[in-house]
Amino acid sequence: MSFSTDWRFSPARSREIVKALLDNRLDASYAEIDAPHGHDAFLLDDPRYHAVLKARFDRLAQELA
Amino acid sequence: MSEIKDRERIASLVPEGSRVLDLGCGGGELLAYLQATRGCQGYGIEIDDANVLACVRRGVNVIQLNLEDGLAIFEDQSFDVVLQLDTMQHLRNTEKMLRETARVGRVGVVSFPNFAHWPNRLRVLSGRMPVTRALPYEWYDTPNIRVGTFADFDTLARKGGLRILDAFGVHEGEPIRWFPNWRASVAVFKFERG
Repeated sequence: MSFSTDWRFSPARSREIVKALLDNRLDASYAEIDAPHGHDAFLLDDPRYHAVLKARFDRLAQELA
Repeated sequence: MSEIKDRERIASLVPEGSRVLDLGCGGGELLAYLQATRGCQGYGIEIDDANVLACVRRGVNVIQLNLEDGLAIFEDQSFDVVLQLDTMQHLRNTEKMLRETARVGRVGVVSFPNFAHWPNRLRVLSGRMPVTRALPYEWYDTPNIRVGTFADFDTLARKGGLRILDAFGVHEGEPIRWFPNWRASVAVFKFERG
């Protein structure tokens, strides 16, 4: 995941990670949250960010159960 | 109902076990179906937050990107099949995305509403823009910025150097191979880089 205005861990770097995962044929999902809060966005209560993360953890929990 | 049949019809063009990229995958319904019934490894591309979330909930790999930016993160011929279903009509860079589809996929599959389906022609003859199940919008609120016909796509594909492997129409879930430009509400093309 990345936040559109994060200059510390920018979307461009995250897309490079996605590309590396894809090139190695690994499962991956990537959400790019459009938020104006820069690197601090991950500290805030962004419902889109929380919903995607929760959904991913729910899937992991189901797969492990 | 016919949407599900349409989906199964398209899915039958995807070989078992293939690696699939679905451009504009929506909530990931087709990819989930391909994973469950045909053993495919799939990735979807979506721009919409709600659709990305729906994909993650469904257990479908999804990558949030704007298709207008191209497919630069994907290597040449890195997928067996690239799907562009009901997506092309929303894109500004139609020609580029077709080239990208054929570059990234060994096979590309495109589907879109056929503007030349006979009820649409009648409606235009009567002096009004068509509003049908396949084209459910009014002219002033349609998200379809590219309206074309079965025959138009054939011309574009040839101009763009694509080799058409199969082409047919679909109407209410049934394939249409006779006069598809008149009789089908949806056009389907399967192609490869020429």
